[in-house]
Amino acid sequence: MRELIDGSTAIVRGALAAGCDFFAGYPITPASSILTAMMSELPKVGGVAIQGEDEISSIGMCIGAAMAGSRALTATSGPGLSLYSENIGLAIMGEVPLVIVDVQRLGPATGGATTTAQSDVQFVRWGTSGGFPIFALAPSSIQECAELTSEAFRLAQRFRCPVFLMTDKELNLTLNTVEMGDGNGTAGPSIPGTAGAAEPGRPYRYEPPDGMPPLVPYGGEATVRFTGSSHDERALITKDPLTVGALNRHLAAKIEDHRAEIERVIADLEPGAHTLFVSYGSTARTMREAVRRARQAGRKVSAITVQSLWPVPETALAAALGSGVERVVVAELNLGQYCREIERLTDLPVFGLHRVDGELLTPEQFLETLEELA
Amino acid sequence: MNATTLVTPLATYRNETPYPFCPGCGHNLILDQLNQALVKLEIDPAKVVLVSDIGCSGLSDQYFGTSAFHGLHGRSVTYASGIKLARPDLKVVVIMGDGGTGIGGTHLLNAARRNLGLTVLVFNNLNFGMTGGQHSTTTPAGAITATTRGGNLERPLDVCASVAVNGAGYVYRGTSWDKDLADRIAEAIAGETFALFDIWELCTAYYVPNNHSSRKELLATMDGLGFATGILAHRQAPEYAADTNVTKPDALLLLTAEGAKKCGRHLAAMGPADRVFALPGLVFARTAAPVTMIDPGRAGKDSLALAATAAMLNQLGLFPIEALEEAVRRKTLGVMGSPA
Repeated sequence: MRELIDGSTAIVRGALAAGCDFFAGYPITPASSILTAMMSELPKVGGVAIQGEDEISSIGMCIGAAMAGSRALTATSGPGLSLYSENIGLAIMGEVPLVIVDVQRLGPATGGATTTAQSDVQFVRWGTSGGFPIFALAPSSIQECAELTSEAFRLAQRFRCPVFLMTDKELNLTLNTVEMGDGNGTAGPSIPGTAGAAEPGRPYRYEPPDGMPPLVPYGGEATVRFTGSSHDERALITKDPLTVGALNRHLAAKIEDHRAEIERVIADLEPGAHTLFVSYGSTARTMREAVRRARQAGRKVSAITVQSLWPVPETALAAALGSGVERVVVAELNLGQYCREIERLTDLPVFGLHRVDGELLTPEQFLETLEELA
Repeated sequence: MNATTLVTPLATYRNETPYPFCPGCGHNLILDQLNQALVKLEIDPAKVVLVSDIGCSGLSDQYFGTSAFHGLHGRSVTYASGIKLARPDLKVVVIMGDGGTGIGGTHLLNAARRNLGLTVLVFNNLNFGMTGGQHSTTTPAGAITATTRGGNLERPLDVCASVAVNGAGYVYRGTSWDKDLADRIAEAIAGETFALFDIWELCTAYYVPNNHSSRKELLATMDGLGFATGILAHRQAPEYAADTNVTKPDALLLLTAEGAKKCGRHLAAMGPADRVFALPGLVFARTAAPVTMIDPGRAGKDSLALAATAAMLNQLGLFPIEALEEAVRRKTLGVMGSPA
């Protein structure tokens, strides 16, 4: 069905399609429309939505609810994400399935509430003590907002970890006429963990290191323990180096060792192209328009839209980087946060196309870059 | 838990591990009283979640056989709130120190203001024990701590008054030696309001040696501050989580095959006291709610939903049928939202 719709609405639909039944958030531009929509929609499906007294309580409530069996969602922007930081660490350590929408705006600090940016790409990856890996997905269209929100819930349930949906002010607040599918985000089948059945008294597993312990929510037949301190498999605090080492390697391995299976890119590679554009989010839409115009003018050019920002989709990127291109241009609304991820994957010259003035990159800027590098 | 569930009373909710606290530490006394309260209540340990904060008291949950959540400093009330909102049937008990009370002050105030049914036990030993005896928000003026070597310059927080004035249903101040503490804790857990206990106790590692403190000194300090003891507030007010948690519809109207398919979860959750209304010929999931078929009569496709809603309303009496008629009249006249 063709609809006039914005990204926030699509995200809400994707969340509901994935069975989201808990939302807590604090008002912040440009993420507030997700909060207001969830406050309206969740009661209709028997879920709970609440406006917390601050961002800290909002994500805290989501973590508590998730451990009580809810499929929890929260949404914020840069300044709120800063306040989420300590609890992102807790969600990683306690292995909490949680979806966090980061509607990016221009930073640092309050920056520009109504000005767009892709400011938090490295922040979500490294935003907590210890630097443990997380998943981050970046939709580049309204339809993908719904689809990738559902996918974020699937990943969160499967890997028991926080999953970020990285959008931006333009994607969330700009209305587009688009063809929305029936499902409005399809909840893929929930894939069980790989560490066997739940065992009473043993809420965590470190063997195999990449296995996911099954989540037993509060309120069932058996008691359940949860902790954010270094712990053994019974969730009892420990300093035993063997146990603590196994725990921390497990927290990394369960994501890093599965990176290949969750890679998501839209590759548009043209034989004979000398330049490869790499982008994500709203900037990828501009990139695709620039590619269309370049080809119309008879230029050969390749492009890749990264949808799974973290872990970096290295296999798909390596294929694009090895497709015969001679140079790479990474376009993003920051001063080169994802550029460094591409640089470490290739010996080709990598150029950054950046903008940090609150405006979008334009197709003309892409085309000018293409001319300059030719 | 339904009425027919049999609960075998437990002799203790403690596990076999001895407490790790210093000799003379008040935490031992308070936790024993909490244990007695749980024994008295005969609760299923899987239906109790002990949410602990950070600091010495943050270790407490490990010595109990209930469910437990050990999170970040000052944020225990937020996790407890999420658990209670998701599962209002669970008993959620928060254990925090005076440190957690200070850093998480806004969460305490807001949980009290919402009257969310948590029982918060503040283990108030007037200083930060685990990190070396620094002053907290409840350290009395003049007290010597690691960070107030010349005597504390700040006024101590009256945590009871703060939550009481903002709507807490149950507020108690006392000490770790109170004979009726277990009864009071049991009373609060059994009740369905936000409850806060400000329990004064001795930190024998730091506060006692720094201030030559004792049980008698503690009571004198409390008295000098004009801090009343005992039950300071006890009122009935709607509990937030149960009041806002709608887990199933009271009535459901099924109009289309697609809609009926989506309502399987609701139909399964509905009981004999609820009502399902449906158009003839629809296939839908099994439900314990009585089902009433609605005759669509001559209603066309455009007016089917309205006619069926009117038929359902007629039977349920949720609001006067005249209100629906008036709404339809205004809509037809194009004057929706303005007075007739």
